[in-house]
Amino acid sequence: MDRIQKSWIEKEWILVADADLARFTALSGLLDQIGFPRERIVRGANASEALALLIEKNIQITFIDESFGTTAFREIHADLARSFGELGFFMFAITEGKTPDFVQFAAEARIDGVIFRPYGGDQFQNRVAEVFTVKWPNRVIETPETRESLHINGKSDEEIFEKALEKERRLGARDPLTPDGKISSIFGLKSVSHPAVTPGKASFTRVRLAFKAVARNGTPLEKTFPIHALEIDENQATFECASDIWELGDHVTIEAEIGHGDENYVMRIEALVHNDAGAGHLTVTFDKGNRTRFEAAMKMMAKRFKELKDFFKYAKGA
Amino acid sequence: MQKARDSNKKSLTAPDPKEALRDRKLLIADLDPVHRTFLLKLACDLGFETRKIFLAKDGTDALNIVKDEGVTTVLYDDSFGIRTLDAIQTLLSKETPESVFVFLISANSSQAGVGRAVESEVDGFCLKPFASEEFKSEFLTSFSEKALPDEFRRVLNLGKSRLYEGDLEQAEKLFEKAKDLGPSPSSAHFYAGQVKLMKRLLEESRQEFMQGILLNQIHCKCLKAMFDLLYTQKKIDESYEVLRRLVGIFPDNLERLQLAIRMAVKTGNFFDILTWFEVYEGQEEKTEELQKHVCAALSIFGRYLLMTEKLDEALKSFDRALSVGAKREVFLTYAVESLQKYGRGAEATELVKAHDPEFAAALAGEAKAA
Repeated sequence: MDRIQKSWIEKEWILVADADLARFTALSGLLDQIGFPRERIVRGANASEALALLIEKNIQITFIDESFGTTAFREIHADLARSFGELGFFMFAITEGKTPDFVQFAAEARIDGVIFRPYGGDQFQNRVAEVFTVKWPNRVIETPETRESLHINGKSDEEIFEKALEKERRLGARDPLTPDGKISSIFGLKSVSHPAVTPGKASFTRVRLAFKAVARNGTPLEKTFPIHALEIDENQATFECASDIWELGDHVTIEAEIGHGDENYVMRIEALVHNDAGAGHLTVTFDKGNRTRFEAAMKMMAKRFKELKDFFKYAKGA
Repeated sequence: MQKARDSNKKSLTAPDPKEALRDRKLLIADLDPVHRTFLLKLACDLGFETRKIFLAKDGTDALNIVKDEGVTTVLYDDSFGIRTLDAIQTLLSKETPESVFVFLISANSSQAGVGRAVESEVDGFCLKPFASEEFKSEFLTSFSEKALPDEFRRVLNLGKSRLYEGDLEQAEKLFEKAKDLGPSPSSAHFYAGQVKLMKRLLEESRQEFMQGILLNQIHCKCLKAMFDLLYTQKKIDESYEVLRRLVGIFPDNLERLQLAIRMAVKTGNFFDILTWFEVYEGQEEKTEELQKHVCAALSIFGRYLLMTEKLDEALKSFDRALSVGAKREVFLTYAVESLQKYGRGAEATELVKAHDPEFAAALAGEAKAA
């Protein structure tokens, strides 16, 4: 029966929150038999006594009876969670099922276990020992101090520096797509190579597109103005254009800049005003001759867009 | 007779998506009136009926149309911002999933922008500027995949609906089946992992997410789920490894970036801070909280570099932290203390001169008087 290792709890206090003295005595006996030393089991007869004991003895192991009521249950649970974090303490509830919200809270708070009265002594001991032996060695204590240290507070921490030094020696410089093999093998991370994915600064680099109408029928415009591409391919485009100077059949000279990363194309392209697509629009067909640079730029843009489209589909999955 | 059978078969297996579009109401949400008109023309070409198309000029307008007109098909330009899209999707989440179709158009042709689109869980996506035919083809393909799903998606959708109903056993069976149907069924593994999570089978759940990631190293849902699981289990080093990948691939998320910065310090992955600083610089929105995180991390990194005797890099790191500007006096004090601790008093004076000349002058005056 003695499955609970002495070393785990020899310095721990155990709180049994039960209003009934006789029941407390019986329960202490059962707990003692599975390894909780009787001399370290204390009783809280009411909520305030129980809360005072938690603080006074820094208690992390509690058994609470339904007779205490849901409000006291909530308070004790909140106090433990505040002091040790959600996963840093052990809490077990005993109920007759008379108070539904007591049971409901036990489920919501995900405490370590609930047992319904009446129960057999063996049944109780097995249940407690079973959950305690799993929980106790694996608990994660998060005190207010450790919670605070999760936030950067601007103070140095030699321990962290040591850890960093070890990592630096072991891994050297690596980008976010290169995993630490020692850790990542546990859950399947491997290096990523997707043409659209480059971590860091480059991940914010956009395809640059700028168009400006600079001449009409060979005569430079007194005031050039930017035009915004609504649709574009190698042969034609529709621009958003506030000016209404264009007439069907006009020749328009467009200064274009298309680039991505280090690849940059600046060129002038000739186009013919194609039709009147409506207010605010300028639809053109591009001149067939002398547009090698423009075609190369469009090809570069199409390639990048294709990579990004593929990235969208792949990363999203079905 | 045979001909009649064939034609029946055809209508069953390949229904025309344009037919389905005709019956739908469409919302076009775009800030630019010219572009809105342009999209209206494209929508008519796609087969939507003009009288069933609603144009929204701002976010409030868009949300009202979704609420009042019962629109479930949305052509959304990201000039409206991602928050309005989130609000629209929240409203649409009450509709049956099959009836909802959201197509995003974006001028943000960066990995970060597209990554954001992935996370917004829209059904289709197109970058501006596009060729009209390319847009129409993309829209119809995405719509067909949603409205007329293939066997893999059909089984997956069925499993999802069982999952939402709480029928875990049936959902699990369907996800298992889906795994054999798709060429890269990471999503099936993701949902199977969710079922196991709900059954509190944490290890099995992790295995599912791992399978999903092994099949697709950039699968957003599996990566997020794996991170959440490991983080909840307080596996700090492990969860950070997943987090740094998430930020590397989908950098446009402030909360996640803040967490990555905090965890980089906590786990001693100091060299990642330089990457996170680059990601910070790329953000359009820089909150005060994020600035504080960046300053603190760069300052600690500076101190670490001093410890490892990399003075120039340390000074650069302090300088960057102070240039960001949050709580300048706190981080300047920290940098000066650090430099003095490692015997770099002259550099500390120079740093104060550069970032707080008035204070430096006052100090110099005091020293002279003494």
